[in-house]
Amino acid sequence: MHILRLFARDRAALIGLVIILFAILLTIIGPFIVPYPDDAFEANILSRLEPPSWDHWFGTDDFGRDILTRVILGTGNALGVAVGVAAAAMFVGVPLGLLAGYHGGRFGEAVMRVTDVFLAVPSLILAIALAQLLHAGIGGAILALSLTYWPHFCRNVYSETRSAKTATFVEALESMGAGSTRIVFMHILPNIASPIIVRVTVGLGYIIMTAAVLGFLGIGVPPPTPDWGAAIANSRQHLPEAWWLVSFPGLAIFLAVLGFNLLGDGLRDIIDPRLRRAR
Amino acid sequence: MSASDPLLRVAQFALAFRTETGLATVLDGVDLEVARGEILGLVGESGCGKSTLVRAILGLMPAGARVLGGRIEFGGQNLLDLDEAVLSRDIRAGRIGFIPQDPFQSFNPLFRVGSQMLEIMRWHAPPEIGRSRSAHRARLLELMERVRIPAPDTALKRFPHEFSGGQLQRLMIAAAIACKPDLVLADEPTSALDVTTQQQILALLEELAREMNTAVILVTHDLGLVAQYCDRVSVMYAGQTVESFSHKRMLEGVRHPYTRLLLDCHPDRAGALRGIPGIVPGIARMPPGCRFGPRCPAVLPICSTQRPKAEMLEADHSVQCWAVSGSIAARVPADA
Amino acid sequence: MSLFIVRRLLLAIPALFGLVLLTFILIHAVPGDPAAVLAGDQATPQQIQALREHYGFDRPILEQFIRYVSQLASGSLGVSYMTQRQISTEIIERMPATFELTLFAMTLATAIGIPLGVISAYFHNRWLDHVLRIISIGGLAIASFWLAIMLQFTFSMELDLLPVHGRLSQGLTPPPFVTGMIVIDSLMAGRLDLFRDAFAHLILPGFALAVAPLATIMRFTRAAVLSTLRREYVFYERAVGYPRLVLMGKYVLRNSLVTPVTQIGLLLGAILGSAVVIEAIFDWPGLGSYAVLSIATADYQATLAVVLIVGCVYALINILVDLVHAAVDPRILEQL
Repeated sequence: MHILRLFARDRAALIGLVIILFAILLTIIGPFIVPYPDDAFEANILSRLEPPSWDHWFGTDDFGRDILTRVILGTGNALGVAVGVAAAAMFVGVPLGLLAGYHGGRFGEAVMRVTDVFLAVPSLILAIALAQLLHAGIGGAILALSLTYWPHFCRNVYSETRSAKTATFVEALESMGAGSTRIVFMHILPNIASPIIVRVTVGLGYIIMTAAVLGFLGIGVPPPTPDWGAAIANSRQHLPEAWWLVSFPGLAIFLAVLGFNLLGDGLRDIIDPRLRRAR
Repeated sequence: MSASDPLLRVAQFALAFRTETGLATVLDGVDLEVARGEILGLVGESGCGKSTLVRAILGLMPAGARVLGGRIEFGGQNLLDLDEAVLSRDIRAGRIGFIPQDPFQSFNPLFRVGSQMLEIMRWHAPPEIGRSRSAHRARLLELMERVRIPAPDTALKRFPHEFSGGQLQRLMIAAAIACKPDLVLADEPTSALDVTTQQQILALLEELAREMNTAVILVTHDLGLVAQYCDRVSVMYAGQTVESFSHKRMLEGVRHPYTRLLLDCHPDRAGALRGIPGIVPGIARMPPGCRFGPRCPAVLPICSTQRPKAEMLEADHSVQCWAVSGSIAARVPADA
Repeated sequence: MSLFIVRRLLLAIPALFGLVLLTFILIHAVPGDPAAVLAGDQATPQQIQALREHYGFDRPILEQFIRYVSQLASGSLGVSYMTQRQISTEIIERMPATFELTLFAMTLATAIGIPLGVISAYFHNRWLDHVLRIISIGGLAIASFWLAIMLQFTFSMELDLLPVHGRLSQGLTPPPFVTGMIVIDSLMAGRLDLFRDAFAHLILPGFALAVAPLATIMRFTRAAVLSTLRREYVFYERAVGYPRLVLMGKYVLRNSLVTPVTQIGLLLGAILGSAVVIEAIFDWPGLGSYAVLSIATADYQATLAVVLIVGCVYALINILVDLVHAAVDPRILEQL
């Protein structure tokens, strides 16, 4: 209850939560409420490049497709990729980080050296290169992003585990003869869950951003699937005539990333009191 | 001790902090006097307001603090009337030196100790020392010799983390007296150090203060230290001064039950007093009447409703306690 | 110190080798025939086979890997499938353009981000702080490639204030090659006209790249200043009367810079990453647009080369950042 009260007082985090809930809502009901469900994938040359109007709030693109429709449908795609990547990165990074942090030694060292490899290049460049090598397509993009992102997770969990390991309750469990797997997953994991949650929240925003870059470079979802990044890339050839092509997908990315960043900041402030005082 | 013209006089000083539930009084009617060249011990358990008082004298009250009343007179001037810029320029370091509690945390880790000490002298050195950097340096070197820092010349160029705690506190003493202040505030100067170093540091402080005729307020929770180094003692409890007396009354003449208990028991390392049951009340939950009442072995019915007044027992001894005033009142008719 | 640099360099090598291995495995683990991709849609099976033999794609993977690594060890990054030129030559030609752009962006981010962060902390929880925090949160959420296009649209296409793309207007010859960075070379050649033109070309891509790191630096600086202000040594520095401006501008600032400085390596990495897209948008002839070109033409040798080179540069940057960190914080030096 105390945490909820703190959260309710943090206006920025609430705004972030509202944005995210709205995005999730759009993902679920989007296909049923979009103004031109048939337009989404089909060209309609007669109405191409129309500026925003009552009929087309966000205007139409170079195939005559309704931009509002495609921005809404792109939400699910963006969230889906972000959640998929975060889940994959956690699935690999969390257990590895936990075990490496708890057991340390040669195994821990080896895991950390492997993460070094992935962290040796700025993550965006690694993601772009991997996505290209894995060939275009949504699967390749998700795999590339997951490969890029899991080491960050692993490192984070590793250092949290290292510090949790020295806690008295862990020593007590060890002296009682609890098995290491049990200690790691039943006792340490719940204790370091909060920083992981914060990391995921901020990470989701980061993944949406990176996925948009991949889409922009044409190594994300293949057309004609609606994608914010790809939409921005296509819009470039119609500047300066058609400003609405580029503006709305970009705003969508901005809002989605902003939502996760605000929520992540808010959660961090609640979870880490040392940082809260710095606000 | 001439009480008529003290160097520092704190009179009925009261201070409150703004909290979520309103104002909480942390200092309530503090009285204190220090004469020139006198070493005053300010004693009490942790959380009784000693450090807050020291900070208030320097004008460094935390955000949200509000002065409720009283005066802090220093050299005939009420420090509470001066604004931050004036205090910083005219009072701090130049007239009131400061020795912090934890020398490890109080030196800026990124700067050489010499440059930090020279920074103080640059803004506050009195005319007789001179204005030039070389004069300041010469003065520092001489002081470092006095506080027994080996190889002062190279020591100036070293960083704080290269010194031991005892050495850092010696440097702090040198810094505190560098600009020849009239008063030095030492806020538990030895609580971060080990016991053997404690004695050396305090002996050094006393020696230099006597030599330069500098007054010192030595804040501590250790009455044993006070007995060794102080001319006079003020005892604080829960934001109030409950008893003040000179060194010679220390052993036989103290009257306040709290002071007596302080003398009877030995403070442990955490600063809590083992022999006194209960704890110092939090600022939000002050009992009405005498604040020591709930823990007092000699408590009277009146203690829980009315606050005792300060009573002068002798010229060098005042006390705030119903039990003490009561016994005086009982004694008066018998003497008459 | 030099020992530290050598050790750090040696530590970077396994990671880079791992990177080569990883990318190599990926290329060969993934279904798809690089020779077929290279030959294009109209190629006959014979042509594809010829290419396969020419590049050794038909050899065992281990042999290919050893060949690739020994080729790297001899300093060659291979030959571009597209241009048939040495990739290392192409990269060296493009490197200065990327350095110019990223350094400009980093300078912009630091020069604006640090003062704004300090101001934000100084006005903690007042309206200016709130406005600056909203700006910094927004800055972190803007996709740099979108911002770049919007800037291009607004300032180049609509307002016609700044050039749309490239490093230099058409018809101008670059100054004699010294550093390869036109802004610097033109100044060294005394050609102010070239400098102005080149600088105008830098502004939009530089700003688009700078926004996210600027916001990050601002947030880190703000948090660092706020936490520094709570330190014991800042209290001590106030208690001994350091003037406010000296305290904030010299002592607090220096302590607060330690955290942002440690972030510069990460930020430069992020800038290098974003530069890939920004360079493509502004037709900036650097490493980033080379990477995009190699992606578009499926020239994976070139992509790998860019990744490796960026990895090396990134490792060097991080070593440099550690050295700067040690210069700012003397305590670090002991751990090196």
